[in-house]
Amino acid sequence: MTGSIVSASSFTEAQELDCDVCIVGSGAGGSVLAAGLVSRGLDVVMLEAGSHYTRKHFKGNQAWAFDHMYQERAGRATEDLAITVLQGRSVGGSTTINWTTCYRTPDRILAHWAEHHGVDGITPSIMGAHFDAVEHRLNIKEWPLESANGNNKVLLRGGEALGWSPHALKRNVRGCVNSGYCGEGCPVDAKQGMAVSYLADAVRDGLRIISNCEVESIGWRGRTAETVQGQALDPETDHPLGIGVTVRAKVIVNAGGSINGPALLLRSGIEASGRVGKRTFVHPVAGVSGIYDEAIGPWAGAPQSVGCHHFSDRGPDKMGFFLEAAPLQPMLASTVGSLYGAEHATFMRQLGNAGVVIALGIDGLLPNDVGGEVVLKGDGRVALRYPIEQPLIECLRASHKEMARCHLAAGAKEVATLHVTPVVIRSEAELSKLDAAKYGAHEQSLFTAHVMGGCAMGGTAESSVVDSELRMWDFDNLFVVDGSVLPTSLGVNPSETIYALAHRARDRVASAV
Amino acid sequence: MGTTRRRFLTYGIGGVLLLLAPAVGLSLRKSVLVESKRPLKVLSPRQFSTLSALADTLCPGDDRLPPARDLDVAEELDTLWSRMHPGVGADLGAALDLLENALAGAVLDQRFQTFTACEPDMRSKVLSDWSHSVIEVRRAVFKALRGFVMAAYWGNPKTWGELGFRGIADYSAVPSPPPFEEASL
Repeated sequence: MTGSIVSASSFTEAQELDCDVCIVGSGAGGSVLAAGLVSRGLDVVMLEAGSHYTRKHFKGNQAWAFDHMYQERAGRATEDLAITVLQGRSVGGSTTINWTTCYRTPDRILAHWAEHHGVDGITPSIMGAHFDAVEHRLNIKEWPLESANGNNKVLLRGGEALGWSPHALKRNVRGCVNSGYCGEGCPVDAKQGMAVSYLADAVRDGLRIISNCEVESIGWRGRTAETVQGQALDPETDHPLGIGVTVRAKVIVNAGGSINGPALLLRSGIEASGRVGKRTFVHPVAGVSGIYDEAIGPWAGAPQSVGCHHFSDRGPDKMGFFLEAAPLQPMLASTVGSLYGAEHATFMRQLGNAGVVIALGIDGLLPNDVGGEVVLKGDGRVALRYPIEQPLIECLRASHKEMARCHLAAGAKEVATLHVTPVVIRSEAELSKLDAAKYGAHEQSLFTAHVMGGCAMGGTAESSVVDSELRMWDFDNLFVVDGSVLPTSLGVNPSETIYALAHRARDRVASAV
Repeated sequence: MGTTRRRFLTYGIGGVLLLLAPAVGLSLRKSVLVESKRPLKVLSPRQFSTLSALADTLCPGDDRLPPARDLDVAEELDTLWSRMHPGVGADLGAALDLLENALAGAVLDQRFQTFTACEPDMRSKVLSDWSHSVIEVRRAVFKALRGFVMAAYWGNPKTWGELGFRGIADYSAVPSPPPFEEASL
């Protein structure tokens, strides 16, 4: 039986559907799970708030992409606006617009989950088979260093000169033409995002996807989740069309991601004794730019192909960080920092010779680091509160110095931070300027594209939201299968961890039908 | 002569009125309105004019780059915000009102005009004050408004040539990879 992808905006009257499993969200978790369930002969309906786009829509236009394929039209941020949050919103979720970087979950993180959170049965040996499977389907392979763009070669050159062992990283691509447009949707279908891989498989095998359908609530009674209630959205304006969609399912899976997923549970009155929305982590990202004599072309080529984990473990009392590069197309580049007027135009005119190294803080591992919290606002909006506390501030100060050192070692003639007033450095002797700089909310630009947690898995109902099989403790048939189940951040890009956890969850979810 | 209750009230009320007079006057200072090229969807004419002045201050253009008004930056943002949650437009409109308000400007920035009535140099100084303010919410508002304006301006292809950015390539002739087959990898 062939499935379908239908926009709820095409409905002329309220819809009521029955199925075995209803999955809310079509990102990394929901898609891998859906493919496994339909291949087992189950009838699965998937609801996605965003639209369905294909390569014919993907022209490398960042303005169009931000407007159509990012949460809140790329205007999402923490509640205090201190951290810009980039998340996808279309069929395929963030996998349609991510930068293709894939890592297995580090062994030390899995060990930490077992020791500190009581996570059971998620060990390197057990997860190995699941990583193998998703790497095979998504063609996750090391991207050759000779194909790295100028921006990633900055990190490679600087990191090697400093003895930090930077390495080639893996990407989920097939037939990549190195266009540099991963963040705008792959124009040649080379990126193995969910829409062209697991979802394509699943639709072939019978999955019914309803796009432009925003889920408002999950109906439940006692320990049983019964219905999913959604509404059709206008694809262009996202305004509700007044047409309801009700799905009755034997099993319901929340795969809406680490902000919208917890928000859906909260709207449904499912709070897990106040733990839903808590322990939200973001790998807070800071960047430092370097200006080079030679052309860097930071907008071209694979956005990320080199990583460096030299500073991931900085000891038991300090937040670690890892280093990567970030693509700089004009639109995104223009939004960082605080310059304006002639000064900003000068900065922009140097963009072709600029490289940016980013440092991603590894939050959630220190004993008192409980991260942020997803909450509902009175007007129906969802908010992420994320405190910037002393361990992160110390991490920002340390990582700024190492990023600046990396640029200098790579040959930058000038290094500049993204502070309100940029700290400019031209030699190692000037690195001490970074000790005097302020770090914190609105002191410098901060970003995240890795929101994790909010429905943390763990060993007991008193300490977590879902068990190690991703079932909510308080329910017999309600699962969470996305990045929100991570009890801490990962110290690596999270997509492959989510793919593998969803792959592992297939049997357990199927057995609950 | 001791202060009677009546005398205290008389002088007290008079003092308050004396203090309020300039404040009321400042709050009533006129905005300099500019007309949108399209019907407004979210912003009031006053908010639109403030946004337009802000955009031209952030992106004034030069001999090779156009000013923000030539790229319809304020009009584009009014359209964008109309497709977001109504609360977003309301929040940003309130932020623009605060930036424009002469009374708030007098208290916080020592300027006695509305933002739209200020000369370009004064507008630039006001924005510098906001971006460096000790009041976190002012820095947050500046960051949010600046981000939207910069994205609308530099997302416009008319600015790219100056940067050496080759723009959007055409990959329509490149075939998609063949369908996945178990044996093919």
